[in-house]
Amino acid sequence: MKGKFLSWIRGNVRILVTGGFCERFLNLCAYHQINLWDLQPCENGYEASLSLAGFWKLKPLVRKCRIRVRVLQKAGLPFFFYRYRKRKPLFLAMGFSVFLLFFLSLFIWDIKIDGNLSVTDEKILDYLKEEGIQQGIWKTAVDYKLLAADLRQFFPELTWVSVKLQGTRLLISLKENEDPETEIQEENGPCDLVSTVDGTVTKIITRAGTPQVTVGAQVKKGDLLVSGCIELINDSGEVYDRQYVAADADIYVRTSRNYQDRILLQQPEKVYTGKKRSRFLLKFGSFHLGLPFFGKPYLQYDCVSENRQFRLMENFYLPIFFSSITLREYQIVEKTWTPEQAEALAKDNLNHFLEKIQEKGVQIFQNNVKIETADSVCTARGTLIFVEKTGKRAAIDSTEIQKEGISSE
Amino acid sequence: MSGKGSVFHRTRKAQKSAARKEQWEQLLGRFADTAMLPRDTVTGSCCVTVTGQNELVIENYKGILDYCPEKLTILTKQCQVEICGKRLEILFYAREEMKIKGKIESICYKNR
Repeated sequence: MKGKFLSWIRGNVRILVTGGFCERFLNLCAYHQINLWDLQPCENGYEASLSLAGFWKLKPLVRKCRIRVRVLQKAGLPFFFYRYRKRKPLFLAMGFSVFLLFFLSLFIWDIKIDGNLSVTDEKILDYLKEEGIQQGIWKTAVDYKLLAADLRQFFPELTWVSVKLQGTRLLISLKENEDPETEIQEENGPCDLVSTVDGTVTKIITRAGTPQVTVGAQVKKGDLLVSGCIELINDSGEVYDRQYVAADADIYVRTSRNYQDRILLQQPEKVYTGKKRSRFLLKFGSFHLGLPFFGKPYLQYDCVSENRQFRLMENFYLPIFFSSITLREYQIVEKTWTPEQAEALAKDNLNHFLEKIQEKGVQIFQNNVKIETADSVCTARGTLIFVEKTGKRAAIDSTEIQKEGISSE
Repeated sequence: MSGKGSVFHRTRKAQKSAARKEQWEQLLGRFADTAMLPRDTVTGSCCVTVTGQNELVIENYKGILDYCPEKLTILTKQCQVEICGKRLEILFYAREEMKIKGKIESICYKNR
């Protein structure tokens, strides 16, 4: 395929060789590195194809072998140019289109984000937009290294970001921190552990640092749990030095949270009537091409539009979109639920909530939620008691350490 | 008694030279094997690759001796390769390599 295209660009000729010593002519062609293809014997001679450049080198060989060469067919770009040499606008248009392609290839026309699960595409695209990176900006306007670093900084849950450009497409590949429990240890300097929740401490295992709370202690958000400062005490019970370490501990805190959910027994529900209309649009920037919808087609409807971007090759996107718009009519119908249905739904909601919370590594200690139905409203209300792991690293001020150092001296 | 230039003398001479040539080629082949070199490049022998009954690629040849749709004779360093078949067509003919299409019926090696 590629070879055929290249040979078309260079131009090729089909010739008929007659008389003389044809076999010698073929061998001479091979010797002079004039490649022949589709060689076929015919009456009193041979037919063969060869490149235009090879054809110009044939003359001495023809004289040597005393043969006659007739051109049967000419194909390729050089002949095309020669035939249409008087049609100047054609060449102008060709040149212009080549220039346009080149010019359009200087912009970014598509942003592809790969490997994200919890950080949605929209979040990242919004961030990029704030940074001034969106479809249609110059390729040179993006500092890829800086962008990757900024992304990692802005979304701490990303552990690896790579930004690269392929064609007119900005590829952002990322890896997320799959284990939410293990926080990235950004700094290894001395630090304290502080609470992130309100509650009662149920268990504390300290690996490094001085614990400041005991089991049963009430803590509030931001309270110091384990200090990174270790006091060294001499035989007479006096503090003679302080050592600062990175506090490390497993601290479990019992917390309570109110849960409330309301489900109305009478609820409006969307029912699609099945009527729909669709239109196709060609979009180029803000310019739209297509038939409009005349008037308001339906009283209430959903509008679903699907965009597809034109591209030349896998990574060469063009700023032209083909979009299909579908309007689907719906009616609002009042639907009445039976109390059993509503209660089942409330239970489902609660279970879903608990499942989600357990995914974060929180244990459920007690579940006091009651589901009741009264006056056409189903309510789920109560307190949930959790046991969750806490402890956020908070760096100790280096000035404090220095001050301590000076005062102890 | 056979004098110098007689038929008998000439055939014996040819036989001798052919035997010497064969010995030399065997030696070269052994050298290629021990030196872990490809045999065809060292001895300059031709390399024929046949795919099914319809396609044939031949490398390391000197030239075409005769070519018609039923028979193609190729000269190589050691021998002539005669390919017989139907509707034989050379898809590609270059200095090092040629590709032949058509219904191949026989491939015959003929020593000069």
